[in-house]
Amino acid sequence: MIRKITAVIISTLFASFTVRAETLVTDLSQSEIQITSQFAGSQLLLFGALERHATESTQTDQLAVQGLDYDIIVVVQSEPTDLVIRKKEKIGGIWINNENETVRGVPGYYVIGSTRALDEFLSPQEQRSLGLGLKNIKVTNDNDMEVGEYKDALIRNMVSKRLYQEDYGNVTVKDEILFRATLDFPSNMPVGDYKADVYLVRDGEVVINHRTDLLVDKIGLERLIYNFAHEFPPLYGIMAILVAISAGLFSGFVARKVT
Amino acid sequence: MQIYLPIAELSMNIFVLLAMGGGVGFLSGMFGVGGGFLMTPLLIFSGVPPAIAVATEANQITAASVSGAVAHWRRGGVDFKMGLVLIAGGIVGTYLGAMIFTYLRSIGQVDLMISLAYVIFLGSIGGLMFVESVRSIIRARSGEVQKVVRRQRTWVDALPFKMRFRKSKMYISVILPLAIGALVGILAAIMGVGGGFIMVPAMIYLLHMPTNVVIGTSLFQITFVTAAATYLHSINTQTVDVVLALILLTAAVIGAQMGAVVGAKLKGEQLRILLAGMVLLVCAKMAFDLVVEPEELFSVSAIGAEVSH
Repeated sequence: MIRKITAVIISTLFASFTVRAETLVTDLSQSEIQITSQFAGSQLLLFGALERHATESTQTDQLAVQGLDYDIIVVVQSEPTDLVIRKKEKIGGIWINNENETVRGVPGYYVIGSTRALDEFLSPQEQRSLGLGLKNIKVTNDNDMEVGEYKDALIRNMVSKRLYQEDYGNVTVKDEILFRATLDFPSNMPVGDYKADVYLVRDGEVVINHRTDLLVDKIGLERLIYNFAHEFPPLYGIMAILVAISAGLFSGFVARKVT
Repeated sequence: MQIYLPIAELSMNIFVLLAMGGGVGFLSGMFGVGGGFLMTPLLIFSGVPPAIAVATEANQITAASVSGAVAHWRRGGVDFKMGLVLIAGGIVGTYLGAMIFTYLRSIGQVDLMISLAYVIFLGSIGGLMFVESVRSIIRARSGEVQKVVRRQRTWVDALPFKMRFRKSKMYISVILPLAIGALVGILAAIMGVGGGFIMVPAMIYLLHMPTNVVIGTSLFQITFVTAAATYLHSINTQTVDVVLALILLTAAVIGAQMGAVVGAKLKGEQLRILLAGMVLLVCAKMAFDLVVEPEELFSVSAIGAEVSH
């Protein structure tokens, strides 16, 4: 008990003296995820170190004794996008998409991880204001209204596609300064600019926040085909026809030779 | 081994795709049908978004029908004049079909339309085929000889705008071929099928074309109409996945060769009853999915895009 109190006191002192001297260094094992023809999802390592410039403080020695005095939260998300959520209803005996809600500015990919359950070290208010956790993703429609059951449905859908993930406890810390987390990206991830945010939390407050960029892009033939289809639709259509006709004639020719 | 499909934007096992293409190719070779009405549902059942399945199949059928059309043309089995009339109707139909497709996709109802179209067409065609082949088997068993009925004048002969088709030795109104072509065009655009299963019976029973030019002429029309559908889907919705089409096509060609060998050993009635059974099976699965309450009532999609499963 006494030790715990001293730890708190020390860390408070430490915080007050040396917060500015601490730096958080983070990086990803790759700054870019390339979607190629063999792409079947990807895993990335997010790692970092908390650098303590302890020279300003004489408390350094005690720090090692007090144990881990901070928690790490990592959030990786894609650019905000607009999505339509449709609800099926039974009409005339069959299930038909009936009502829908368009939501603006929601992430197409959102993964959050941390050293332990958020509630153990961060107040719900703080979680909400920072938008941490799936329940705190802002899901609103055109009129900036919350969309109730559609929000739950969106999260459920995205979780089942592994595009939204909550993985508390996936951040491991070594020697109190090095931390790492493995991030999981499914093959259906959206392309675009991603951001990876790392929060250092101490005493229920975010002390440092560091952001790393991540680019997810199709490369090679995949990119070429996708861009071609979306930028020059008429040419793509003609190419698709020519490919089909030549492939059809060629395979017919081969088949005749063989049989 | 997974392969990433650039337009569908998902990765699938290439061996599963090859098996699907080969299997459907085998069946189409065995039964002498295009196979689009089996391939498109199979793609949908395996998780490809329905709109992409339909557009990609249109592209694949172009490839599947072109070599057949050329082979029939060499044997003199294509009535080009009739083919062009059917194509003219077909292009109008495809345009209409693609417009309906694009509109329904924008309001999130394209999946429903595809399923309904399959249930209706597969159900009625499969049912008719089944009844027909059961009847002819019974007839064959009882030794009854089918009477040859002389063609009688019908409402078809009363239609205006007659045209002479030398190859088919016919002098008929262009309205009916145009209408048949248009219907097939609509189906090509919204179902991802060649439409042979509608056109061949229509050419035989409605137009009374000589059987030696029916298959070649219908393949000739299907090549052009599915090419038009490919083009329109590429422009309107960017849903044609060439990579997927090529994988399926390669396997389908090989499968079709093997299927043709097996098909030659089976009797016509047996083949028809098997085919009817399969058509009805696919129809039943589609109908089942429409009627049974889905596990997840909500779906999420990008604006204007189809629902991904």
